[in-house]
Amino acid sequence: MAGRSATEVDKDAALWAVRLECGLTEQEESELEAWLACDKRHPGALARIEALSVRTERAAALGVHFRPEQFRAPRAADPVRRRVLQWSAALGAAAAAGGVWLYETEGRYSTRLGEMRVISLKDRSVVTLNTETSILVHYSGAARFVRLLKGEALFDVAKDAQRPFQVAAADLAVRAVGASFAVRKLAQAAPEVLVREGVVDVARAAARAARPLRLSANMRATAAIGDSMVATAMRPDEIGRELAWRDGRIAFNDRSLSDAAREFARYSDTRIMIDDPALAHESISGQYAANDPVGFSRAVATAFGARVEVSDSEVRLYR
Amino acid sequence: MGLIHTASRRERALWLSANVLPHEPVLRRWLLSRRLPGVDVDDVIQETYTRIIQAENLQAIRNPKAYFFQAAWSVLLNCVRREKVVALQALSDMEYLSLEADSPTPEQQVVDRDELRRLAEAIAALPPKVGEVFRLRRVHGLSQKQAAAFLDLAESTIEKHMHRSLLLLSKSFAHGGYPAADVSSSLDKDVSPVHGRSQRNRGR
Repeated sequence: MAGRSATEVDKDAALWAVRLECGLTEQEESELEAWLACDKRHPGALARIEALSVRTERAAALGVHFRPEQFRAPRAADPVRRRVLQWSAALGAAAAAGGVWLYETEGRYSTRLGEMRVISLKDRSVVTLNTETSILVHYSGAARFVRLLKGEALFDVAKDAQRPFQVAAADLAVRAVGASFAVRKLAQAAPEVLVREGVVDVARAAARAARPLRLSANMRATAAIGDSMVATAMRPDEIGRELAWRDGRIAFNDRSLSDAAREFARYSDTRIMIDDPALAHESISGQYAANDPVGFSRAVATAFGARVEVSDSEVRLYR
Repeated sequence: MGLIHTASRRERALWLSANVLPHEPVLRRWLLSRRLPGVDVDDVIQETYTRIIQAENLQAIRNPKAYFFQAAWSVLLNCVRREKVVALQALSDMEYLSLEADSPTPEQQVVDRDELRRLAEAIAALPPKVGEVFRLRRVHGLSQKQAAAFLDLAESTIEKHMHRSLLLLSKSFAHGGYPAADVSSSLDKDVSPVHGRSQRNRGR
């Protein structure tokens, strides 16, 4: 078994295993075939490392709240750490006993349809999730990362110049040191960022070379065609309306009824159906409970002289 | 040997993971204790796996442990013949191995729970960046593309870190499960960055 050492063979095999997982190009496929054929250890080394790779998939069972530091072998001279561990164990027990505020860190957090959730992170940043939202939080020594997988979230970021707070949503990359801003990634709408307080930089991932767009309070950035973005100024009361969901409300100012119906659909399974096109174009303003499409429809019906028909899954508005 | 279909690769990996990998540390310890001159334990292990996957139908193997040890035995014999240095006498207690092959396996659940803990320890012992990528991929279930977007790193960097984590975890597994101690530090030197890989489009 002359030639390369077993360690080098393992190294090659591991690289092929990682690449195979993501799919090979045609050229790589022929490279791999040649590699497999040139040494009788190669096919076995690859099969073995692929088996090991499959075995590490069990790590998923550790769950998204897995914290590696809890599994690190304790060092002899580390009294502080031990104290912290005891303290967190005590906190854990207390939390199990009932409602102690725990600072959460890493993991995936989600809300269901119509649900809202406030998450307090360990740096004291607070994330508020709107309906049907899912985020992935990942803190490291150098940065604070959140990926907005879907939905809408408000970030009240604790100031830490050493560790910028970064949010990725679709191809938008948002960065702040300390600020309050909302990020949206909704189906059938361009991703956008609303800034309530502070300064926020927004960039498109594809246009990394370009300077990011700097937004200050009361501004909105929306992803546009190509790699571009559109920034618009907003009045403070507009921002307030956009974020009314934090109080479980939906606020409209001069919006069409069909827009409003679409907005309500984000919060509930009960659909508002408007049969009459003229009625659908009527404009409405005001604040409504996000989880009550029926109440909203009745109020609208009264205002526009329409009728309401309520069934299990929908509310029908007609004249 | 041509490439095999993705689905059968996965099936093969699952089978090996469940039926062969658990016995590897025993075989490895046995080979090491022989101290056979001119025989590299890792060479033998790799070639043994090559033999196993040449089987027509892995699922049909009724006693994988015995099959594994027998394959190792014949690789070893070949190796000894080639090297012409080891007296066959030195291999006589191969019977120990065949006996071992018939011994009952410990209660599976206990092994599983223990393994998960050791896996967690091995992950914790990974270098920080490598561990971060590994956790995103394997614990949080992100694709390579998503992990790259999430950490704002090139996909080739994610690939490099996954490569490294796989090597480090496989090293710690080879040494009897997943002992965390000193695995990463001792391997740091011999795991060099992945050899030159230009930017590629992995958007598939």
